[in-house]
Amino acid sequence: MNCSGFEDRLEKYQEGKLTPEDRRAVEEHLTACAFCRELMEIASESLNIPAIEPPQDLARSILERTSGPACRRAREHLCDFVDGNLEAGYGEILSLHMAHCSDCSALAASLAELKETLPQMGELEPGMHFTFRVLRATSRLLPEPRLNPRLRIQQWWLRLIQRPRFSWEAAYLATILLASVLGNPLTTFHELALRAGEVYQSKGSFSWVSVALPGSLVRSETGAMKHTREFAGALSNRQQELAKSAAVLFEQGTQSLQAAVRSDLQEMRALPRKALSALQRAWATLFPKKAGSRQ
Amino acid sequence: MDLSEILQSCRNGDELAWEALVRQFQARVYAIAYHYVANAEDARDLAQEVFVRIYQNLHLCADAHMFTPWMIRITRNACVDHIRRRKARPPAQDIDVVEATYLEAVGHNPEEQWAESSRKRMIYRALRELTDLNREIILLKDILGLPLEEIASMLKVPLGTIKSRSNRARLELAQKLVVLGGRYDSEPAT
Repeated sequence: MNCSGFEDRLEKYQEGKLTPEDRRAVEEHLTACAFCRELMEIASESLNIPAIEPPQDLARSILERTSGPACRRAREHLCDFVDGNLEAGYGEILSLHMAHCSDCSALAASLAELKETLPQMGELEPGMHFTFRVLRATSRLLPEPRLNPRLRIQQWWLRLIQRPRFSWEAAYLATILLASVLGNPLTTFHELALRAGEVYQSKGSFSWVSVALPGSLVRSETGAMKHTREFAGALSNRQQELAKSAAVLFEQGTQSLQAAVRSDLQEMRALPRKALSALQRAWATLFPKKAGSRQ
Repeated sequence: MDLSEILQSCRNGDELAWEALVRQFQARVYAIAYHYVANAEDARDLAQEVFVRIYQNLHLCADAHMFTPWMIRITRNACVDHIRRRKARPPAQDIDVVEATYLEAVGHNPEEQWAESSRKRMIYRALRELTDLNREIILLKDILGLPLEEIASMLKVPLGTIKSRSNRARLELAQKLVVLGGRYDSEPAT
């Protein structure tokens, strides 16, 4: 064995890891070579030198003169480190950095706290009445059940007439209708009281038809019927009969109203009977054959 | 009864299922609204408005897995609209944001359950100091746990931007928390 071979095997020889053949060859070389004996003595002493704690700022001084502080690089990986997404080897050297850097270790602690706390901030109770308020707001928006058109119209009508102000609205509409039928109310009703008086004086009683219809018809109670007949002259026979019946019923109705205005109780008691007889007459007029067959 | 069954019952007009859905998600919707508008009363009104919108549009959310992102999206849109309206018509007396946050944070607001903990209160204050985008990313990713793709779609920002911003925003929040913590620790106890 030469000196070069001895140097190659020196470390293993000191650690006792050589094969018996190599160990024997090394020892033979040591007895023969003074230079290698001295080399082994120096190597043995260096192994026994006690470790000395380096100055605290030594690493920082070295880094300042070489690569600069590693904090910036460390912070790039802190989130992955906290999330556990950093590979193990890199995590070790980052931990080594944080062991000597209070700023980065404080940041890592803060990030770990955020990782635990932030998900807890995703819910916040809105108060005991919140659910009630939402349900009240949405209950008005419940979808309508699907009904067939006839039922829907029926329900609409029932809702309409059950409203308290329906009677007022009906009266309002009737007034509008009456006014539009009878013409301008300012002129038509202007002479209404006078006309009613005239009719009452001439007949001893009056009919609302005579009062309300135009002046040409106020002379007698039968004016309305005459007017109806004239009007119906242009219509077909069936329509004429219908118009006559309507006129009869209308006259009976006005007589009943007249009785009510006079507070004639006897007349009012006879009202249903008179209305029935009027209806029968109308029926006979409208359906003469059927009425005849019944008789 | 799982979420898909509850949603189906809600679509069929079952009020009981709707109440269950409201109770299940009201805390989350309210928390999101509160994070955006930083005012308990406004957040409550907004949360109610959000549920009315959800109720009216339940037929648009066919998949139960998509319900939470859809709900968060509706909440965010309502909050953004509200903030825009508020900016257009500012309150009669301006309050400094930090001061307002402080007032809210230390005030005795019974609804702020998590603000009862001083540490969470501090996190909330640190959050208010972030930029709008960073705060929104933290809200959507770290608080609500939405995937990055969903956040990018919601904020109309490229996915790469969200990825790079995500860790930076969290680091910025942690830094602010360290500073606030130091300030808090150095304050004499009262």
